[in-house]
Amino acid sequence: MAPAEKKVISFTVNREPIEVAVPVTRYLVDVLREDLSMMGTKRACDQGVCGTCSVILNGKLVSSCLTLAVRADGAEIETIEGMGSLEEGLHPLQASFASHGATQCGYCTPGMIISARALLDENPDPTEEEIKDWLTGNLCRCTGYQKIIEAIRAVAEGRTEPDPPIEVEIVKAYEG
Amino acid sequence: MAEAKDTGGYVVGSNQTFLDAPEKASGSAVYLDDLQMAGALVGRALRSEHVHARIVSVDAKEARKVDGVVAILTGEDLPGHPRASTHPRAMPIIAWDRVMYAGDVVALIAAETAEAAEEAVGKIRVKYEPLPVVVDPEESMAKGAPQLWEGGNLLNQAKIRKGNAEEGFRSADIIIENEYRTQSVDHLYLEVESGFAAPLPDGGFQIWNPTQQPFPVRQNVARVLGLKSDSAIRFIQTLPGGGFGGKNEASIEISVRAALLAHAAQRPVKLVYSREESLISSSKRHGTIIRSRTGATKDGRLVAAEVEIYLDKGAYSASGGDTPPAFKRATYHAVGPYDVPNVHVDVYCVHTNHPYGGQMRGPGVPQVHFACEQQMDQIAEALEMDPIELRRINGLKVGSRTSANQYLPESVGLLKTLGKVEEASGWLKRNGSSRREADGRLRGFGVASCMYGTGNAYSPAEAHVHLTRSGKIRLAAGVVDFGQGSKTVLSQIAAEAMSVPFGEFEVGVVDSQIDPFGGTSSSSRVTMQGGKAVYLAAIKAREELLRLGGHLLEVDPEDLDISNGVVQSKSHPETKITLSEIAGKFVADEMKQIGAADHIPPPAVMDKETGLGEPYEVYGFGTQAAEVLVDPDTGEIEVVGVWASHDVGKAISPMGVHQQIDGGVYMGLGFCLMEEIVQQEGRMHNPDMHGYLIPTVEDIPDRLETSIVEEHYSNGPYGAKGVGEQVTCPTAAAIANAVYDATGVRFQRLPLSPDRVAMAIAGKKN
Repeated sequence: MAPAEKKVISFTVNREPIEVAVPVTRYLVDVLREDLSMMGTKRACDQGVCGTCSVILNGKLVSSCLTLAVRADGAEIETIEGMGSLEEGLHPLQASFASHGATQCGYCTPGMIISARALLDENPDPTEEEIKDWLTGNLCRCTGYQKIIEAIRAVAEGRTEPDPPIEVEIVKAYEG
Repeated sequence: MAEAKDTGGYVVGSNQTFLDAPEKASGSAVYLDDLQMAGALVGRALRSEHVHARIVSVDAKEARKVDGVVAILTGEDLPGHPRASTHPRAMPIIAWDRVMYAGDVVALIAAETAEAAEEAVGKIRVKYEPLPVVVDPEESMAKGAPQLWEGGNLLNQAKIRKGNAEEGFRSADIIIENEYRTQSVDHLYLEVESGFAAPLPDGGFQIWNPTQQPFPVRQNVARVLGLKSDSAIRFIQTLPGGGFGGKNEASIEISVRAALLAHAAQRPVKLVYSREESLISSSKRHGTIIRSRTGATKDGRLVAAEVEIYLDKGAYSASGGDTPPAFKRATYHAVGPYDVPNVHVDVYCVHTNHPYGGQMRGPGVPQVHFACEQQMDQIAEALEMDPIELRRINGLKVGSRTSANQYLPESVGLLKTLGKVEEASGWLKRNGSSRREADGRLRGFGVASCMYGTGNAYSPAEAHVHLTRSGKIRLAAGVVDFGQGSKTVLSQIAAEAMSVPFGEFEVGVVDSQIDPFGGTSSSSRVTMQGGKAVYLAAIKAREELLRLGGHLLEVDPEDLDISNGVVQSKSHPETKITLSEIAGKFVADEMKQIGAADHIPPPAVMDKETGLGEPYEVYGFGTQAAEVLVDPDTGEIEVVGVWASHDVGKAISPMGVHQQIDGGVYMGLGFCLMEEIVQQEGRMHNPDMHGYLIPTVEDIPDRLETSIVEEHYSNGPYGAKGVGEQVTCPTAAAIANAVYDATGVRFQRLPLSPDRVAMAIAGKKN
């Protein structure tokens, strides 16, 4: 099998300039993960169905498993790593997902948050229906989406904490 | 790490941000495929071309010549032909004489690059001699069926004989009799099966895996590689990207395969299945055929239930060997959460040439509830009785006996869940709502309840509590948090027991060099059984902190107490010391164990002749109501509302319980409306995410109201039972009952896909 022809491409990832030689058949998700070791962007279906590999390319949400890397030549790319970090502080969407319990296994979470980010960039105050319309391309197998919607609505309202707080009962002694 | 919330030092019953949620939301959480290692090879598997065939020959000569190929293993290369477990019918790690389903592995390859590995896969020549195929469990038991196993296709059968069913039916005023069929479905965790193995200089191996059962993985890798003890394997868990029961058996198979390749190549090997391989090869929720006959008197009392169940076991045995969890659970949940004096249950677990049936969220139980809860609906209709009232009359309560004749002395919250759902859904007012929308859609309401045997009998758990050098508390409970939040919940239990703020807790992934045996993350057992071990270890850790503090303060530990993480004299409150001061003095290494305990849950006491006894130590209970709109022309069903209430004993983290209910309803909705492994003669037609549909955000109900019932259980930590599986058990029946209410058509076969629904409605009109 003859190796695919290579091409040198340059783009920015989270504002950092990158130059990399890639086979013309290589997908952006593989360049991010394998070549740049940026593991925040996940892969799950390899068909553009599940949204775990979502990134923002020139302001548009794309599935990086369907985007040939050469198509990203000259582009500005944003990934989950550019939004916030444990060290430098989380982006409000990241903090809101955490505090609302909108992440369980966490595998869909980076793609879900990037997708929510693209939504809020376009529509800073989406209704629940608009959030649902937008997120149809992001699958989650754990949460049932309820808390994801709540977490995004919270950020649109300028919060990152649940409101009203989820029901809480404090026990004072072990009765069992 | 999450900040401790102000709960006055008491954290059981409070909502804490899950310990690993910020890491997951940041994108820095590490899953198996995120591991990169210099010199690591890429593993690939060659799968069977046939559903059932004799392997005549495997020729890998050309494949071995491919540039970059380092190791190729075929069945003949593995002495003793190892299987995934010691059970004689377990899946072969590499098939050598016969393939029994389309997911069988015929060869394994390790190469420098994915391209080289894939090229080698394409160059292995296998000659097969096809054999006859059997895919229906009932046909598989019939005379003349292709024999898949010496000794017959029946893996096991079980029965319950309680009272006298025939006499019971004679006293019945009405008898409802039906056949139900449930389909095979996949877990479809977003992270596919994946494994990593690296040889160690001492001849052992380091294994990484996103499993739900770390210690069985280690044990089976050591067994297959012929290592003299498990400790030759260092096991480090990676975060599972979903499990739902599927990362039990599958994690053993893939870990063993990765380790065999690493052994052959003497280099690290990463083996990650494609989505297609995952769907074709991994375990499935057992498909079932269920025949139910239920008798009741005019006043709504159930007098007899007879249930016959065939479980499609697929080609191989898996967890549980002869007694898979789904088989045992189908038996003991077959009549639902009701007090029925006369019970006759027969269950057959039968091999076919399908993917093997494994554990999937509530193994066996969503299937049998789909049947028994529709039986209840039909009895209510026949007696012109409210379905909630019928359930109230027959529902288990404290002092009742189950179908196994098990006496329930405590913690039976079924009737409360019925009351909560009745109230929240406005059940009694439902008939006042419009039954036909302006757009022609039909509205309907349905309800279903459930029970769930929580935990596993005789399933031991150990837990260790460590004080770290910096004065934090590190739990090591040996159980995997696969997203359900067990790290957080177990830390809440320990924080409460130790009077140490939750924010002082750290929990890592399971590491066989640190963690004791905690058992599997399955059967809704972690909070109750793992949590009990944590509770007992934390009580000891508290005493140890008092002893160490007393030593430094030169105070009798009897005079000491802990409050908010500070050890303090009761008689001289100014005499006190912090955990970090204690750690500074006594923790020389990274951490010091300050408490250890085990918890051994009660065994299952069963009578072999009748099947009566105590299969589970305690049960969870729940009720869900659904409101649907059905388009009679297209057959599309919109679930507009679900009201769900579940008895979990004690909600250690109410947020976590609500999360589980959300996810359980979602999965139940998928099971009911769309999910299906479509197979013809054992060939899968939809092995990708275009073809295998799961609910998107548009499919979830606009209204989902969840509530928690807490009927404390005396042998659970702080009264807790479990939650993860019961929450998905009644959903499909609740929706099917609502669809009947809307359309007058009873669906006895899953899923309720639009084509099936439209055709059935059209058939009724004619």
